[in-house]
Amino acid sequence: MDPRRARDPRLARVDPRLQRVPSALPTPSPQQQSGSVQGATQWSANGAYTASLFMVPTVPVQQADIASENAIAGPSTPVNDTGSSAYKPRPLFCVVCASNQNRSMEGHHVLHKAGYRVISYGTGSAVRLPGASIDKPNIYSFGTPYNSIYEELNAKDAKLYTANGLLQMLDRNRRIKLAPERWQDSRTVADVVITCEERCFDAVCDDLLSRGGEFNKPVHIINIEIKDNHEEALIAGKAMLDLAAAIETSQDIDEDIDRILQMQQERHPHSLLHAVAFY
Amino acid sequence: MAGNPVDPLQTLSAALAVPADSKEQADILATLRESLEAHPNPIPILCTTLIKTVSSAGDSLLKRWVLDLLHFAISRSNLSTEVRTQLASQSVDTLVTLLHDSNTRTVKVSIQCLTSVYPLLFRSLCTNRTLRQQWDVLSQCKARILEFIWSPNASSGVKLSAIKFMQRVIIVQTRGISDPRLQNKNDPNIANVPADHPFIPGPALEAEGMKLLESVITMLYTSQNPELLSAILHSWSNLVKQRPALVHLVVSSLSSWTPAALSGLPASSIKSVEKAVRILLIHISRGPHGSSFGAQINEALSQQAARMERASAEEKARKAAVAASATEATRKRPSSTPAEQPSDAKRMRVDADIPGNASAAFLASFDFTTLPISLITDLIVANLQAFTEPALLELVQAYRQSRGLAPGLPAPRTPQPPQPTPEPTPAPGLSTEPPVKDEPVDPLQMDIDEEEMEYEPDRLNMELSGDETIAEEETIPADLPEALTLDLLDSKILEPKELTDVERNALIRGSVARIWDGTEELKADSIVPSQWPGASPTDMWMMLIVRMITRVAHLDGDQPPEDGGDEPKVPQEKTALDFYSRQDNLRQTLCDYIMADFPSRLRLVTTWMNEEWYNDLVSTYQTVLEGKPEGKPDGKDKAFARFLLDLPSVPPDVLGLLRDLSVDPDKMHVGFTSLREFVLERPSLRVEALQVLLELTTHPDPVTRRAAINTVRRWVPGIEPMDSMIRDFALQILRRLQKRPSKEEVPKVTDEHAGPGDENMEDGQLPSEDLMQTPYLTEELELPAQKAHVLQHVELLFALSVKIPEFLDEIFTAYGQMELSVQEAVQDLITALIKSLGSSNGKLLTLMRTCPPGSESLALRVLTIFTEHGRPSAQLVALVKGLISDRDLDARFLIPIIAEMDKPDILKYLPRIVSILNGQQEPKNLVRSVFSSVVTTPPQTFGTVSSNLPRVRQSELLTPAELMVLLHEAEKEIGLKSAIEAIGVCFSMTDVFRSEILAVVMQQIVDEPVLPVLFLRTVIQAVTTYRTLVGFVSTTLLSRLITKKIWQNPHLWEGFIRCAKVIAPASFGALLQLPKEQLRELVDKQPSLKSGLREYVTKRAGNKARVAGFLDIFGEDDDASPVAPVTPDVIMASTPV
Repeated sequence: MDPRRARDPRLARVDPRLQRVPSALPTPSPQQQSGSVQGATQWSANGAYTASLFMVPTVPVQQADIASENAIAGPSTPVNDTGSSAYKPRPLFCVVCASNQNRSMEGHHVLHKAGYRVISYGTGSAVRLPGASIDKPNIYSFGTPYNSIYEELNAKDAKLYTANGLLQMLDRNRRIKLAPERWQDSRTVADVVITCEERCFDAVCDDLLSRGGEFNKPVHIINIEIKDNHEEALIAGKAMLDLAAAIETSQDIDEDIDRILQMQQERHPHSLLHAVAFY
Repeated sequence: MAGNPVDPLQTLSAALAVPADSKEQADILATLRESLEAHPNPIPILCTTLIKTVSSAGDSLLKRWVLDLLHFAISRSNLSTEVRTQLASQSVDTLVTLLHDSNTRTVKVSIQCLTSVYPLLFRSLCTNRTLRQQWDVLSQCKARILEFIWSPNASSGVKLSAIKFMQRVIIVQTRGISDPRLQNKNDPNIANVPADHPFIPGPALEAEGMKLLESVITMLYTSQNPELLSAILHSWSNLVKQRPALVHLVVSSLSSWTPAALSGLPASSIKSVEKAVRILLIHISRGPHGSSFGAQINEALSQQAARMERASAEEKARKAAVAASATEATRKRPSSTPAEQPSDAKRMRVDADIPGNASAAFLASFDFTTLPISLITDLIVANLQAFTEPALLELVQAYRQSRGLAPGLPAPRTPQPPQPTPEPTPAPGLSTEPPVKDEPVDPLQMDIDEEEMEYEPDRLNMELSGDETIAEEETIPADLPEALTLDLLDSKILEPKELTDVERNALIRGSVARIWDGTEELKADSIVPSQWPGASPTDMWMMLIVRMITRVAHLDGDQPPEDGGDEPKVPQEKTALDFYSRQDNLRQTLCDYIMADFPSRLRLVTTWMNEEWYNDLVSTYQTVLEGKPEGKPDGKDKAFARFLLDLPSVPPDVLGLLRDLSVDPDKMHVGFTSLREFVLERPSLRVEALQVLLELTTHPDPVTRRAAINTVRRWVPGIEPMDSMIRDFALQILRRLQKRPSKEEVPKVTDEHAGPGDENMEDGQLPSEDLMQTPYLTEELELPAQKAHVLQHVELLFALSVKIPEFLDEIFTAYGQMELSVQEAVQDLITALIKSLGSSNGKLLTLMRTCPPGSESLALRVLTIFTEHGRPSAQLVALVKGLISDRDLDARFLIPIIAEMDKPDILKYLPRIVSILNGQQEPKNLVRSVFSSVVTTPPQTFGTVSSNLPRVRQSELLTPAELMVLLHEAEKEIGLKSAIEAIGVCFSMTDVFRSEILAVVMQQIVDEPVLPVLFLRTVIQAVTTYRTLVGFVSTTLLSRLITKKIWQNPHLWEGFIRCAKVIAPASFGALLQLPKEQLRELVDKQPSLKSGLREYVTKRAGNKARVAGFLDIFGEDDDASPVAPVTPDVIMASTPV
């Protein structure tokens, strides 16, 4: 058996919706089947950066659930020359918050709906959702499908979690992708990372420093400070849309980022931070 | 998909078949890329063939794709280094040409590729001495890329990539880790260049590398481009990781970095760069080399945090100002900020943030309410302190005059809504500033201005009327209405009637009552003075009362009024006397009234005091103040603190008063609350108030002391400046406990300076005269120190140590230099602290590992505390084991943890523990407890099986027999005396060392090749303790000893003889097995055995000849001597030593 299955909850639990697109599911490569030890090294050395492998369950879901025109530009191809008629490469956006639930998924949602290439992550150690009281949060590991969380909370206290908007949020999320993903475990190379909180900005920068920047590719990390509630997320979603539009129309992000951020700052109240880091 | 590798060539041709740059082509290429990422083996072939064809062509989808693929293959793929190097060397020429490509993107990706190519080729060229041409190409491209960084024309994207390239070059061209074991194969560096390399000039490259590093640092300090700075910072971590020698350089450049060069940039850009610095610093501090720079980094971080906070407050203020400037830009205010000398870079930046020409308007429109209160107060204090005392007084005077001369002046000022903060106190202080609207005073000043203004008409009336007799309105309240009328009519007033005191008082009461009634009429709703309804009728009432009493108190003599002739014709002095006594009576009346219900009349008293202050009658106000605390009925409420805080000026003796209050158990709450508020909210008194609090932390009464400690503790860590003051104080006090040049030495040494001076140089101690002293501590710590005294010194420090583990360092260091009695006290007192820190506290564990010389006993104490209740953590055990092996510490360290060790360790360390036995009771008890903790108690009855075993590691413990055997085997190591004592301890543990155990022990030892000296002693002890063992010893053991030729060892032989005697007559059977010679020796030594043996032999039937032989030995000569009774004394005396 694939050694990952034990570790990765996403691989352990097969989402029912996944079965609609069984053909899209990869059959493990022969190398990975050849032995657990070798498989493991493969995973870290090879699979680690080929996001396509890592994000196996995500991609098909997105492709299945999402209008097909963007499917190809899915998050799995780092620097992708997908262009429609002109061959201007489209930037890959990556929205990052703490739990990959509210703010980043709102961003993911609106950007995706507007046709941008977007992926999303969380930087926390686990997915934390409000619970019955402040000291009893619901905690899930990254990779627990949104659908499972949805069903668990629905069974726990449908009224409460409807009232605080969690179920609606999870319902939205499960239509976007399979499960919350952790930034630190990701290997996809994005062009622009949008973080939703200074803490996440710090975590992303620090993680990139730790990775060592072997790819030498600059990435713009932009923090939009958003309070973690549904309303603020909604408002910030609009801000992200503007930001993404400005970035996508720019001929050279590196050149224009200053101006773009200034514009953004003038049009939206969220305080911004910006960093150029390297993959 | 990734799982199904597509045929690369097929897919590629499919991609080439569809129209170039079409979406189909993009899709197909994306699929191919994905597949290649999973299976990169075909990439080199594809790349090398394709790159040449596309390089010269114009920009196309395919070209980008190929370039990206090459980038991926060289930098990121899991192809082997060799393959990647090969690919690099094949493509380097093309990449260099692409650097001149017209498309920026191509240039960027080329640079990114070359960033990986450079180290790869550098490494291969180090060993390959023929490819000079390639090196030249590489050097060219390096020069070209580095040029980009400083070229004004290069696009910023290219620059960013070039920065990364430069950082990589720096890593390659500096020396790597010298330790060959730590060297990374994938870390090519200048050290790899052979000295005789034909074309790679090692030293020149190294110099270039250092120069580049310098230019990076220069850029960091000078560049105005936040993206570039961000890129520099985010690409620096590799250098830190791979070049430990340069960490220092990086850290210090980062620590001393300030955004000075960035002035003029938007605040968010500055903040972004600050963040990048911060993130990198934190990253370094977490890294492997971070620990050695921890302190420096932490300091830099805290400085930076303060800087960023300031910047964000400024930015907030600026925004508010921008918003407000639209409306108020026209208003002019003279901008004079004498105290604001832009002395440092930070200030300059502040100034730079503010558009210079708009500063006046900016200040005018500045909404100071957006600033945090603490910042405002700090600014105010800083401003005020910029003046010298006389200058300030002068200004105050000038201001008062100007106010007096032109009382209407502030009237046009727009009144602001009253501040909800019930804090008008500092405001009068502020109004002492020159009449310019100085930057920081605003909100509070507005407050008081409003107040002033409200009453301005009264004064105006007074002034206009030019009628000083109005001053009499209060002494002769009956005239009040008349006076008013007269004012209004501006006509000549009547001469006031002289009233008797009784009448006077009646009138006053009457008028006050009327004012009060009027208030009630004015205001139907709340009239409770303790509420704060802004300028309510209640306020008016209070103001009237207060001003009646205070403001008009001019004695005629002081200021001869115009119509002084109208004054009563009494002698001047008597008038004065009467006048003042009347005034005082009035004040006393008011004071009594307030005292009757202090909390609810707080507002009144505050108003009153402000008024008194305003009129400079500070002396009066002090008298009143002194009366207050005694009259206070309730010590619990906060009213008094509030009151003190609201005083416009606090006389110095108030602190003394508060100190007394704090010591009084009933009123300490008030005292401490007030002091705390002083520290927090009155920066001008902060130092003094904090000093009082700190001194109280050394108070002998534990209740007071703890209250004081709790009060100051909240400011640590983080709330400056209190934090550092408290830290300093705590450490100073700790220093008192250290040994100083003793009194005997110093006086004898005639040169007073030499004593402390030398001490200072040796130990880094402060000379004794510099030691902190508080009124609650004795001049010199009396020795031997009492626990309570020591506690006075250390309690604050201990309380702080919970929050700031670094203090533990200080405690441990200082501990080493304390007197023994002080050390004992500290050991005792530290218990609670250590318990609260817990045994997993990293700092504490580190300290125990590295405890400074002299403080081992404290470390031991900590260890004991940890192990007193419950088992020590594995961490702790490991630590102590390490400590013992490193430091050769006292065996007492072992005792608490020995039970947690595994068997081999127990066996290793137990002898050391046992050797502490010295005949005293205390070590004996210790050893007993150690024994009982390392030994498994054999089940008493086999019937009861309990799963509730106290220990989980039964199997790893010693059996009692093993312990006993160990004691014997290690007798030399332990020392015989101690070993005897230890064995004695074992015997005393009768529930563990039962007779069957002893039998096992004896059996085991006797089988050993070399018998321990103590063995027979133990045997004797065993048989005397347990008579049941006699059979075993006599039949089995003695015979075994005889076969082992026991007589060859004199000590043992002696023991054997004694043993035989002790268990006689049971031993006789065995004794007869001795060779004749030895038997003879035995009976010679113990003649008392003779008769018994003889009897035994004769009774036994057997070989006559043998019997005769025996009888020969046991001769008759000592028939008379009876068998000596066996006494315990004999046994104890049988020590073979």
